[in-house]
Amino acid sequence: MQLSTAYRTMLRIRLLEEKIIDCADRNEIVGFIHPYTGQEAVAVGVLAARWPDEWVVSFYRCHGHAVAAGVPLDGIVREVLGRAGGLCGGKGGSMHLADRDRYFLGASSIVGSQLPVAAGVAMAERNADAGRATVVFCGDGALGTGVSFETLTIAATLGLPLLLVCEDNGWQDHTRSDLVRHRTPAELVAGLGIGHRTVDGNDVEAVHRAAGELLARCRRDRRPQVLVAATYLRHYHAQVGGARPAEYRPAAEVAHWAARDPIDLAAARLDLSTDQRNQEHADVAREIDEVFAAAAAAGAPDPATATTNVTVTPGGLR
Amino acid sequence: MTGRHPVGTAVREALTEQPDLHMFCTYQQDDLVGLFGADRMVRLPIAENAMVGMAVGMALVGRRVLVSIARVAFLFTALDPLVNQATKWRYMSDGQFSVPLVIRGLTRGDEHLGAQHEHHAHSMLSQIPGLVVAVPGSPNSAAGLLSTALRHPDPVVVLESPRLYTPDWARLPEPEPTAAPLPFGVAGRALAGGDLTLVGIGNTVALCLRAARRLADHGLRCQVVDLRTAAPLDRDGTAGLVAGNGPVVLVDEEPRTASLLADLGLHLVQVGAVEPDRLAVVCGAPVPAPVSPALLAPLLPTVDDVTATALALTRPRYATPRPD
Repeated sequence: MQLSTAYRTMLRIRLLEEKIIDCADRNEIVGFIHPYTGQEAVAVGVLAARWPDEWVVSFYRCHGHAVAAGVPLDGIVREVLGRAGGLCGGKGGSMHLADRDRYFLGASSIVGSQLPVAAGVAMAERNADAGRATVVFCGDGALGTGVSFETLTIAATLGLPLLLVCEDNGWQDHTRSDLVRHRTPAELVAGLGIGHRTVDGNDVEAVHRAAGELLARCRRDRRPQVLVAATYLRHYHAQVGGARPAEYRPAAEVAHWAARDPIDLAAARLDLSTDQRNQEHADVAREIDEVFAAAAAAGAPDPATATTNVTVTPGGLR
Repeated sequence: MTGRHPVGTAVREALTEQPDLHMFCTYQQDDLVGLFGADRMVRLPIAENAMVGMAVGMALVGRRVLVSIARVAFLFTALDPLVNQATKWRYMSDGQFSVPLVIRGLTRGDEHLGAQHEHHAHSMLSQIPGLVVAVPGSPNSAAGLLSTALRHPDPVVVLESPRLYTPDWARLPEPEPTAAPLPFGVAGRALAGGDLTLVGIGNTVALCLRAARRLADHGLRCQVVDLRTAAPLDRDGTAGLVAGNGPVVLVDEEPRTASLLADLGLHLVQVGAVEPDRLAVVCGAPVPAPVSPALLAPLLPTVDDVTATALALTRPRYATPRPD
């Protein structure tokens, strides 16, 4: 992984999300958005280590995963805005992005439900015997669901090449994870006898190294692995409508993580000057602005497509 | 029809024909593992939620999975992957992905297992867009519908009554002459007759056949229609079968509220296939299944109920001169 490339991808995610938040503030977004700002290093570091034909399974906070998986911005933005030409025809929206061509299997908006789906993909890949692993992302809240333990038990028993990336940002919606969980994600996974690493999720190089090692183990040993990436959201859990949620987290905690921004860390390591950073920022911002302008001009999806792709069953709707 | 149950034959044929077909179960049949290998006959813990979710994942990337959920009651613990995943991915991805998944589960019939194990679920499951709900009424139709399900590109739930698997299954009323694949959304004529029509689904197909025999003693020739799939429900095909064929009795073991058959009755009236006062619906009671047979009997439609309802409908209208 080129750090400069990773930096550019993280910046694309950041500016994409900030633009989406601006649109939400102006009530131009339908439904929920879950910004990925602050966690960019996880998606970028992990997915730089996957083979391009290894499936990625995401969840409702999926914009960053999609960008890092190579999904074109245009399709993402049109999908999030509900415009014609969206990645999923306007039927998926912000929480359910999917792009078969990029092996981005999709994002599920039910907490924890993506884990067994990813394990099924990993079983198909294990049986295909091509050495590929499967990557699935979740938040630390997902490890409170029963199905996550069912899945990890089965993955360990059957020997599935599954890399579970837990984005541990310490919060489950508006609730501190500490208040509803008596063990850390790593401790929970260790209790299941599954190989795992905990890493600084804001250090894209550290994330990349750890993901690379764990993916190699998944492919070689055909065993599930868990990467716990400690990170934090710069903005908030979710926004619906034009009003941002009030800050619900301790100011000191927010400030602590703001001082450890993954993009700043990467810029420092690249030794970028202020001018260079400004230039990068301007280049990416221009790209994003163009994508949003094209989406805004695209109009709405054809209402006649509302009933397509429900099922192939003759008669379809009944 | 003796020897191997037609459903067993259908499953083996599908596994032989389709190398990408897998079966998930909580216990493995040694003979099938021997034939098809442990990678395809996947033994899993009692974890229905993960089991169905994994089947969705495999199906999304081009495999096909048959999940034996044992009881439909256990499917309720896995409604999330069924409702939110299996039936939604074709739509949410706008056709990029499909989920060729089949779930088999036992409903109720002659077992007396009580409220937590005995369920009909066809009306409830038929509310889920994108899901085919097959409800076989005989061993052969179970095989025929399962064969079609195992070649279908979208999720299918096959709701099977344990009645179809009793030791004397070969002597059950058998309206389907063969175990050939049956199309979804096409009702079948289980018995021909021109005086009136009895419409059943699942267990009530056999009930209608028994009632038809009883009504024959009254000189009435009954047509019996087997709906076969709750979704798609063959509204128009059924209307065609019953039009001009006298009164109609719709028989369902599910409660009347939200019964598919009550909805079908409305359709039959609206399209003029039957007059409103020549239509009746006989349903089960909205009560959980008790274990005692004495308590269960009054809650489900009986041959007596159907026969009496049919006789009432076939009485001539205005048989008694009305006062001027």
